[in-house]
Amino acid sequence: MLNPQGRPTRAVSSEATGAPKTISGDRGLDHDEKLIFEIGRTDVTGVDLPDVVLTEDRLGGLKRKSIGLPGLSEPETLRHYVRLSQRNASIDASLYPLGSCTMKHNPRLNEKLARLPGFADIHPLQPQKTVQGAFTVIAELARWLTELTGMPVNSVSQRARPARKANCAVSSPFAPRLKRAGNRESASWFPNPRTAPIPPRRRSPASLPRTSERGPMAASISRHFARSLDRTLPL
Amino acid sequence: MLTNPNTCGLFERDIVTIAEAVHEAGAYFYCDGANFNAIVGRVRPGDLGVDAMHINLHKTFSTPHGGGGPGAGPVVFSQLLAAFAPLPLLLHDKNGFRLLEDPAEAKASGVTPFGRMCAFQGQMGTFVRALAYMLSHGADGLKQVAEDAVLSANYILASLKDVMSAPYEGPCMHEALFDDEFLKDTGITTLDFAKALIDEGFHPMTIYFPLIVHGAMLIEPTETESKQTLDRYIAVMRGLAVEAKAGNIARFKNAPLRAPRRRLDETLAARKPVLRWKQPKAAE
Repeated sequence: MLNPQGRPTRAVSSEATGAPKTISGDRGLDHDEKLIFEIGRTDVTGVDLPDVVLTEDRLGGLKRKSIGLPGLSEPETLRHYVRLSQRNASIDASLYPLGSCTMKHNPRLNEKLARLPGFADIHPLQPQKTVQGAFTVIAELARWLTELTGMPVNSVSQRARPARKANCAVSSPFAPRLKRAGNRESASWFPNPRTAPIPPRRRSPASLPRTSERGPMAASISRHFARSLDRTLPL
Repeated sequence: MLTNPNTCGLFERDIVTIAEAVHEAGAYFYCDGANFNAIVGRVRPGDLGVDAMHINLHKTFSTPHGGGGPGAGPVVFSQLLAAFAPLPLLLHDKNGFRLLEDPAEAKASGVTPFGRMCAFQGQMGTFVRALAYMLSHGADGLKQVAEDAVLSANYILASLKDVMSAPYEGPCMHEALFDDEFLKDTGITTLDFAKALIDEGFHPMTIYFPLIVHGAMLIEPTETESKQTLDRYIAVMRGLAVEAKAGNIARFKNAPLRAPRRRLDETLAARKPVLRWKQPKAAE
């Protein structure tokens, strides 16, 4: 389909170099991948499933003959998604100057640590005594954020005043929906910043460890996470 | 609410005066931590009079953001708002950590949370990644993150200033901002210029944002790109700017020529999006 400017929406590189039009429609190894619905067949699957044990049909007239799910063999499935991924413009493929606002390099060390089973395979509803290591990570993150911002309480997880310990409220950002704890009260709930005494700000330099103080970097990070992990049990 | 450094990549110098004026008016001061990357380890928002700020972990602490998530933005509060932070609270005592989730218990211990977060304890995988980034840099390394991010942006700004046009005088923070003044009378728009970058193998920069700058091009290299990579990018940008001024319109208007698809009809795509695949009639 042509857009209003009359430009074709397909690349024209092969015509530009005088190469003949291909029979497959692909441009050499630059594959023009179709939608999975267009290449899949509804009568095949890459997985062998056991036969269904016949039971009484309770769906009445609602049962469909075919739900039209596209089926592919395993190599076809792999090729489909690998080809699509190669279509991705990404920061792993070239400079992507949208910056930290949208896309910043993700160090592979982060990925390795996030995949440790003690962090990757836990569930938010499992008993708290089994995720002490994960809580350690949250508290440590909260401590760094608190030092870096100079603001005392932080809502990754926050420490309650009386406890005088690790201080954080564990809450996620892009899901700021709140359940009301009590009655909705007026703005007088909060102290008036004009009249409330502003506590003196602590201006001492951040007391965070420097890389040089932590010994060889990788070893120290591994140790830190190993300690956290010892106290977290995956499901 | 204020973003500092702001979206033009400039540091708001009057921020302390603004914070005092906000407090004097009986209000609280919220800061968008979107651009914390430029000041991390150098400036503490708490010292500027900020009462609450969210920190997008992907923007500053290198967690993934491709495809939109998973996002995580811890919120920090000043002393004045501390007692109102939402439940659950993470407490530490002789038995280790535990979550305080009961509003009655919170009240009894002297805090008055204004609600409870629905999303459990947040994005654990993102927290691990952010902490890994912090630990691998250390306090000194994070300071250098801000320095390098600002240096990289200024290197681009300074290297391209003579062939492109910058709307603001002087150095920038972590983002180099250009307008389309240098394309005036060429017939080439910011969009054309961005599309030409695709043919050169680069993802285009942010365009037409911020809205207050005409034909804006906002370039943020961050702290991780090497000088060699930046030099290659600068050479391409210079080359394109020279081509544009020389009146070589075709390569801009027809771009992209070397992408999987040519220029798409963005208006039609926005107005009549095709969100669902339908079986072609013949195949039924």
